[in-house]
Amino acid sequence: MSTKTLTFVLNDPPYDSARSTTALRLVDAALKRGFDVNVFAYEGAVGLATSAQTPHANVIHGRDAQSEDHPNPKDWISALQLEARRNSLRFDWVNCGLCSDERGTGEAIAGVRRGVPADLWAFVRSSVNTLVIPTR
Amino acid sequence: MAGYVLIAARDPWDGPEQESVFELAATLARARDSVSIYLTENGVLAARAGGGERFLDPLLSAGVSVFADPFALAERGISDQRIVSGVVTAPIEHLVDLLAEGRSGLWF
Repeated sequence: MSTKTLTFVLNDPPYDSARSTTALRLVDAALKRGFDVNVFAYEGAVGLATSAQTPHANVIHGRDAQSEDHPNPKDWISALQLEARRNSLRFDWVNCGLCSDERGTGEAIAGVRRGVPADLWAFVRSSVNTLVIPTR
Repeated sequence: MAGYVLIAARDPWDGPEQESVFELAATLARARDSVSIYLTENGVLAARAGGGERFLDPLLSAGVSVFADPFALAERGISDQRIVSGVVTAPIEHLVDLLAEGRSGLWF
């Protein structure tokens, strides 16, 4: 067990609740505290890192895609990956493979890998603590 | 025993089941466990002075440490000058610190 590693288990899909945003804030805080971080994304959370996410315009408000500046969680995850690299920390994000297949969201951004529950077991074994952020 | 950190993320007025986090904290405190509650998202609504005391005063009296996420407070327009006495505002990094102590974390 490493005293320098924390694991977070996410379940909520993107664009659905505040929990996903809070989870990414927690990951950011852990990296800022100097922890290596593991994330295991289950169920709808596999969509957080989907590479096909695309910013969109808002016709009702008369804004194009650039001025709408619609946030995509894949970009926040990329920023966390960059932050980890800058600080020589390990940031390992695993998407549940079966969950990705079910949802057709197998294409994830670079640095996100496909895995199985055994990866979560390994994460837990190697971490000082694991926090599960459940769906409602 | 490293104790517990319970994360309360839901509006406590959103039905009786939302009070289970406070009931569990009280039970653990009575068992002399070290218990902290971290209020975030709509859970910070419990920290509003003039209403949240019904949830938090019994816990504070029992020795439970209660922290509130300033980001979530600000999002909801709750000034840290108007929160239940005894609640401490603490950035989310503090939740990381509590987890790093090895406390069992339970998200509600």
